Amino acid sequence: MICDLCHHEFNESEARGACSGCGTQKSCGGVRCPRCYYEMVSAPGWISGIARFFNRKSGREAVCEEKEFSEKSGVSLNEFEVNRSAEIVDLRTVDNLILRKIIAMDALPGAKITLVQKFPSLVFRINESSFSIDKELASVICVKPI
Amino acid sequence: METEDLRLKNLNVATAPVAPGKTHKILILGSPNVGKSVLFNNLTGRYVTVSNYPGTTVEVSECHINLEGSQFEIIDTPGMYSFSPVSEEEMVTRRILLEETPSLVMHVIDAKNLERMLPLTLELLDAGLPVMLVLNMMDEARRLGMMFDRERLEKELGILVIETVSTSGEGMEELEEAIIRFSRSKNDLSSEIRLLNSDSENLFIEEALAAIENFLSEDYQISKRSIGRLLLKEDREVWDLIEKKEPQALLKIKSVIEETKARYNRPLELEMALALKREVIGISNEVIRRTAGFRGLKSEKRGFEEWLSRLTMNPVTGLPILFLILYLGLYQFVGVFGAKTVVDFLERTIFEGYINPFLIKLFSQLIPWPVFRDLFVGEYGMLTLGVRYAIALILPIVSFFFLVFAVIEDTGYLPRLAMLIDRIFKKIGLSGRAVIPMVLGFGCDTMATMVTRTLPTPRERVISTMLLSLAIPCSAQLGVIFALLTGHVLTLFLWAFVVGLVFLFIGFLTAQIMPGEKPSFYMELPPLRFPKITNVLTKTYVRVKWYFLEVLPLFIVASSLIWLGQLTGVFAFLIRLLAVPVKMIGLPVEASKMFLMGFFRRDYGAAGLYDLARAGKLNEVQLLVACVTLTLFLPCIAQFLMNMKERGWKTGLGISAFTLFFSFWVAFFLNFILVSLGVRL
Ligand SMILES: Nc1nc2c(ncn2[C@@H]2O[C@H](COP(=O)(O)OP(=O)(O)O)[C@@H](O)[C@H]2O)c(=O)[nH]1
Repeated sequence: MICDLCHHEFNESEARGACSGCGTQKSCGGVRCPRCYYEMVSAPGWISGIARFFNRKSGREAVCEEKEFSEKSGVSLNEFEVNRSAEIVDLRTVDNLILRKIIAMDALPGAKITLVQKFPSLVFRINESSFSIDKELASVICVKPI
Repeated sequence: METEDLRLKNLNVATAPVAPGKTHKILILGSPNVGKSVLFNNLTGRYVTVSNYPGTTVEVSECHINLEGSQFEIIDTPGMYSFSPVSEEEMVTRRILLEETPSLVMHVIDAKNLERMLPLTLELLDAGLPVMLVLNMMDEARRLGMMFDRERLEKELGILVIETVSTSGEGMEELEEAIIRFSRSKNDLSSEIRLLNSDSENLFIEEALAAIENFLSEDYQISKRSIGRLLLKEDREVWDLIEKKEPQALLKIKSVIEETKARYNRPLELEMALALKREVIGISNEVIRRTAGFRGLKSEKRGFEEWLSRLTMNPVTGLPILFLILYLGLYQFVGVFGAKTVVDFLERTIFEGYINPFLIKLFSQLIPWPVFRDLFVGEYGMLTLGVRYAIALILPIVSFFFLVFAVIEDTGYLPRLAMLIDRIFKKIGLSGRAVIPMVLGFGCDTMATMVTRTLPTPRERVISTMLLSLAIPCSAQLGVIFALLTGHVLTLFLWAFVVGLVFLFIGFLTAQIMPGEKPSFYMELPPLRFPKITNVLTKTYVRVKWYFLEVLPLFIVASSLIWLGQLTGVFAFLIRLLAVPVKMIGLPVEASKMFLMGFFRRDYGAAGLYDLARAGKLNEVQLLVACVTLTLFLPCIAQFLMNMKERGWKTGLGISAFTLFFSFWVAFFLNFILVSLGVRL
């Protein structure tokens, strides 16, 4: 998410650190910017759900948790923009069954894809074919724009 | 000819040596939707249904043919994406690979997707199988401006490569010739197994493979190296196999796997896929020639087709399109035209006007005893009822449905429907993939229950079997119901509403009760194509023939059983017994006959309902209740048996029993509510 005050872009899990010393701990529903300590509310799931429905950028973003990729280089396919080319940077799962499904589509790290549509299911192009996947599978695929 | 000989000599033609006179097994293998069935049909001259969506070849088709004096058994396998199975179809295919000892494996790929499909070729080669590569759909590849350096590809892989267009027959002669030559060559395969290149990144994997190969001492159908690969991928089935064959090696193998895993950041499955991919890219860069006019699909905005494809997938336009298809295809074509116009003509003009009077006259002269005469031409006569229902009522309706279905199927619309509906289906414990058996269920639930086998998890299979038994009316029922309810728009709407509600409600409940993993959805979207008339007609013909041959004997048997029942009084007794629940749901006593027939086949019962309604014996509420009950009612005998065959007798019996009681209670409450509210439709 992006800080309302200083516009620092950060990951919600990073923000935990900024909370230390606060009595309410995680139960407050607020998020603190790790740079300026400004406190904001994080949107409840249903609000970001609606926001996502209209394809707007919502406050919450599922950023790939791999350390090697800084905030901008890898987002899950769910968060990516439609009609833009992307390169797959990682598959974030250790579940062999899920991996096999993605491998069957040839959506391996390094592959170039274009997201065609997001709702009701995701549709993407890879090489000469199109595939449709659900958002659970898409959340595993981390991409960066090219 | 000369060059062919030369080509074969230079290549590693890896056939298992076969004694003359023996039948050679040839496996046709490849991802779904690459044209395997068409190829199979071409080679064998037999017709197996061909389809434009993944997951329809469930049955393994086999056919014996004779080419220039040699016997071949051609086996068409369900689709397979990779050597590590995800779905049951893939499991079936791999089992065939491991157990059948084929003398030739024809790996069929979609030429324009060479890069995506070549990894499986390499895996097959790595397993030491005798492989031949078939680049199918060359027409589409050429249209995209792709050419292949075939000789180079053959050299790179060390196997024979053939280019085909299976729909037009291009390359078929060459394929047959190659098969014959293949069967005659006596090369020893074990000496020339091609190993996957190792590069620096998968060094540890190579080490592990070498170690595992050493630990394994038994003989396997496929190379030990590829057993090792599967073990590294933690393949359950292979693991069990080793456990059975040489449990002493397990411990050592396990520690190798753990060590190797620790050396990589990513799962081994992914590392190995990446290594394979690097190799494939190396090969395909050498062999794919993109001509000057190359237009990848990505850049190519294939105008109208692309536009239409997007319209069908966008929910805002896609849902109206879906309803339009349902309205025009199902309601107008199957319902109004098929079930009303055509059936009326056949029933009233042909059968009641000519055939029945003629048969009755004929039999009254042939058979002097009225009792036996009734068996053939009585109220429930084999000919006057059984054959009439089958030919005049069910046959036209079913044919029209399968015709519509074949058109929709051939355009490639079904996967788009699957993606549209996936989210809703997730709520009832299914994934979009289940749309295919569900839609097919509108044709024939029995056939559809068989197709549920293509669903990945047991949970999805049980849920969809349940829903097919309960809430999906087959085309014959649907046709009769449409015929009954055309003109009664409100009743039709209410019928659809109640059945739809039951579908969602029961699906939701079953999903809550049934344990098991949540389904996940992924599906290839083939390009929208204009339906090919020959494909459509073949599919319709094959399905209608299957259906008709299934139905006709059952109708005749049912007629004679009813005749027997009437003679002995069993029928009257059963009707009296059934009259109680039938009255409880507010229907006239005559309707119990219809339900009794419904036990034999739902459509048989539906046809009985049609007769009843035409005689003016039902009011609107009764019509609605009767239609709903018959839709939800116990499946026909064939499906009852199929439920048990596919899901095991316990689950199958359970589903059937539940359906019976549930349909009654829904009808009871529906009638109760409508009557107490004094609703007049
Ligand atoms: N253009 C073209 N279409 C093909 C070719 N071979 C098969 N098809 C079409 O591809 C679809 C899938 O074929 P099918 O045999 O059912 O594939 P399977 O799933 O591999 O058995 C059908 O609609 C065929 O008409 C080909 O060589 N060229």
